[in-house]
Amino acid sequence: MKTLRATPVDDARTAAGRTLPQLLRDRAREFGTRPAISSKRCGIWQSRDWNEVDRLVRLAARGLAASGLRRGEVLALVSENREEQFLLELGALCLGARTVSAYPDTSIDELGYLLEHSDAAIVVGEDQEQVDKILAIMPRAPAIRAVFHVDGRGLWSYDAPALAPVETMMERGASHEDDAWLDAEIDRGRQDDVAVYCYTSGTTGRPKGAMLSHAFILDNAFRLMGSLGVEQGARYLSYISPAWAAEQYFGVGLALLAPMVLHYAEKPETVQSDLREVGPEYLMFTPRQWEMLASNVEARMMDAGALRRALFAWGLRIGRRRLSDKAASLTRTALAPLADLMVLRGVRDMLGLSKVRGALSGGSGLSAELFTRFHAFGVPLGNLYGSTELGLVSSHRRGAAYRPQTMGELMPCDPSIAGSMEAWVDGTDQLRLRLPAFSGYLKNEQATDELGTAAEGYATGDAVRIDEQGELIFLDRVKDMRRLRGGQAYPPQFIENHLRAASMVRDAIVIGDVERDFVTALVNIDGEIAGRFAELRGLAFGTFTELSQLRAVRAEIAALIASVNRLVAPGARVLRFATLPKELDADESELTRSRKLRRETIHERYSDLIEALYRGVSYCDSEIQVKYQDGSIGRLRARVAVNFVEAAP
Amino acid sequence: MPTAAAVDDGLVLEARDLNLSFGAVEALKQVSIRVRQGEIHAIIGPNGAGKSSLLNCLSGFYRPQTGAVVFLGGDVTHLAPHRRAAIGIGRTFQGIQVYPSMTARENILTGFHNRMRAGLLDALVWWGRGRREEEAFATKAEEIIGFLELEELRHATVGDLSYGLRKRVDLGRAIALDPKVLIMDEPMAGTNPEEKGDLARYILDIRDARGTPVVLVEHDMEVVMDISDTVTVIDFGRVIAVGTPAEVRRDPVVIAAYLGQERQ
Repeated sequence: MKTLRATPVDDARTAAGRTLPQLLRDRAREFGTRPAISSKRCGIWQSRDWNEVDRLVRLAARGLAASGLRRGEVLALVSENREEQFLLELGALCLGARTVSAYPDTSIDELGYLLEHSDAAIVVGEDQEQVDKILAIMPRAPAIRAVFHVDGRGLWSYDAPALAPVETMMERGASHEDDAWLDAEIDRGRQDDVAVYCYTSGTTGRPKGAMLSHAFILDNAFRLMGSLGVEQGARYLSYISPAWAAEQYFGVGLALLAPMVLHYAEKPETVQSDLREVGPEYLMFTPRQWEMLASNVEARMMDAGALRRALFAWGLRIGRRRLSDKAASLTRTALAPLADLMVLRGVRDMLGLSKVRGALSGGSGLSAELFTRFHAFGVPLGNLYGSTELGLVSSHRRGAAYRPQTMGELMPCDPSIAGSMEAWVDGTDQLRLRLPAFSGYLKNEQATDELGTAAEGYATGDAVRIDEQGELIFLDRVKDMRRLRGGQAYPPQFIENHLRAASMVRDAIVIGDVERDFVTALVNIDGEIAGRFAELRGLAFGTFTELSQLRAVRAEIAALIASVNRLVAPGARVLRFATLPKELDADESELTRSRKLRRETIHERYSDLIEALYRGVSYCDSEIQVKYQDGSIGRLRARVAVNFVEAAP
Repeated sequence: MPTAAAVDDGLVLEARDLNLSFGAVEALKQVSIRVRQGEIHAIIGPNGAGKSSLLNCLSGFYRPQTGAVVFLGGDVTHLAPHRRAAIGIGRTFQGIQVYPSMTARENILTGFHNRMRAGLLDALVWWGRGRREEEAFATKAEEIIGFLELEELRHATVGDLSYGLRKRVDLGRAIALDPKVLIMDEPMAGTNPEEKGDLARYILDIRDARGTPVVLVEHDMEVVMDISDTVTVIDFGRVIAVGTPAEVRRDPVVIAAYLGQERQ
């Protein structure tokens, strides 16, 4: 059994025993008038320096104290990424309170569970949409004492005594206690205190509340800083949700530790253009977000004239070729710089990635194809592997060889917090880790115990291979490596990721277990790309359902599956598939809010289609219950074709 | 001109016994309506009933033969449309009245034209009053962009936008006048259900956030019944009913007018 140990990084910017608010206080002293946060308001980027951020956080802390928030109690935030979210979170932490963030598109039911389970005392809702949900939940969550809103639009005539604007709360803070009192409160904080609850996305069952301490958040921030070599004053665009632990490390911990200049977009709809204006040096997206960026490029190129399309294809080809060690000297010295100048620089600029020094994809695996494409564009994209409970484990280090199949090497821990992390693989292909971990699940000791201990190595539940270079290759969840009736094992996620990398595929679900003799797939096509594809060929369609069943679209998908089949063992190949007649939708519980597939729900909802795939009939008349935007329920009836994939040569 | 006393009971705009005829056609006969602070007042009626004639009398495009239009206690019957706009009677028209080659932000800025005081020279030297004024209006334009949620379309050419979005820009320009009452002629015409819902929301927000009363002529009964505080029903140039949507809906005279039954 080989034990892998992380290479330490020598960086003086350690947490040195401090909590997040203690670190903020020091940063304000050190960096005073240098920019800390930049937000786009009224169409203009407006920045705040460290002194002002410190002042606002203190005001927020005193305001929250005046509203009755005490040490150990919980402030819940339901908001898009915006500076108020950051200021209020740190304000609460100053008091020794804890914070929990929810995704803005969380349903009332999910939010109700989170607010009740976390015993939230004060809730901040970004706008009317969130406030409506919170007010509806209040009767069954008696712990909630006050609700504050950031954007008062539409709330003019609300008659709720517990509701007030955030400004009012901060004004109250100005006359509550003083800075000396607050400094004493900040001093009382200990690095091992719990700072943030982070609810795991819950692909199965109710979400669990992982407790993250100040030390844990800062250690993870250091792991990122060490791997990416993040410089002081680097620009970061806060885009992934603060409800996700990764944003707590990147957008809170690292923003204070490096420190970075945090940028907040005007609103989610303007992120694409704001990204371009900011030109961030470091950023992290989920694989889906990277996929969408890549699809944007393709969609734009489909609209371009033949000459530009040809030029783009040439630039991308040269871009790919220069990645290879065996690239001819002509490519390296002449063609690559020319392609960069004429094509790739423009692509990076259009994506807003022209200044990027470190870009990460976290969550579940990004396909090698897409990974290589971004590298061909000249974007140094790295994979990131980790979990809410154990933090960030491995990533591609800046400047090292980027091998798309791997999750990179182990990350360096903050030496003021822990020694190097260790990793090994046990008899069941499972990755085991020895490293500083989270502080347990809230009110769920049993689940905490199931993870094991650092001494014997935490159980990750992931099937991983450690390769000769000491990099981690993720196969699948141990419990998700699936076997067919004949005993043949296959990696469903690997196949799905490769399918999803094609622009015409939005999602793919691979099916096949011990009850089945072979593998099949359900494919959710990308309506926009497939729509253009059909338009270019003059094929008529009215709805997504019709588009999904066009013969030419199905033939494209069949060819794609055949190409992926070549990558896996013969017994693991996808033999039949169907294109779904509707898009998978989080509102119908087919996806989680972070757009992960909910397999059980999908299997249940499309069971007749799946049976048809295995019976080998030529089509299936399926009927699916759908929920419309206004909340009404309808039934979608469609004839879905069963497609047979040609045996690969 | 406006007097404080008349504003007290919340009456903003009033038409008193208007009579308007074109030759032998009597478009309005003894029509009166009263629009109060903070209400959405819908005017409905079958085609040719006189709804647009009434709006045109309120905003000054038509001059009634007899009767008066009173705005904030002052008689404005004889004021020209642009003078009425200047004292706070805003108006949007059927269809769209935006400048298609300008951006959304520029279109909204044009709405401030009658509040700009700086002259050509001020604008040329870009100093003092001219500059302060432009900065102040740019800030106001941004407020309106935020209010109508047009941030991502700020610099988009309006001619390229969908009908519903152009309609929203049009509304933004009307708000830029900072009207004390807003008159809208068929705002929902030609919009799809989603755009309709959005526009209805913005009209409610104009009432709730700014307290501005809105007078609207609208054919979409669902929208009218949903958002109006008061409905005035006109038929053959006469007011046949006034009341809340629920009252009007139950009124047998209104039902008869809409179903085209023989009238008593």
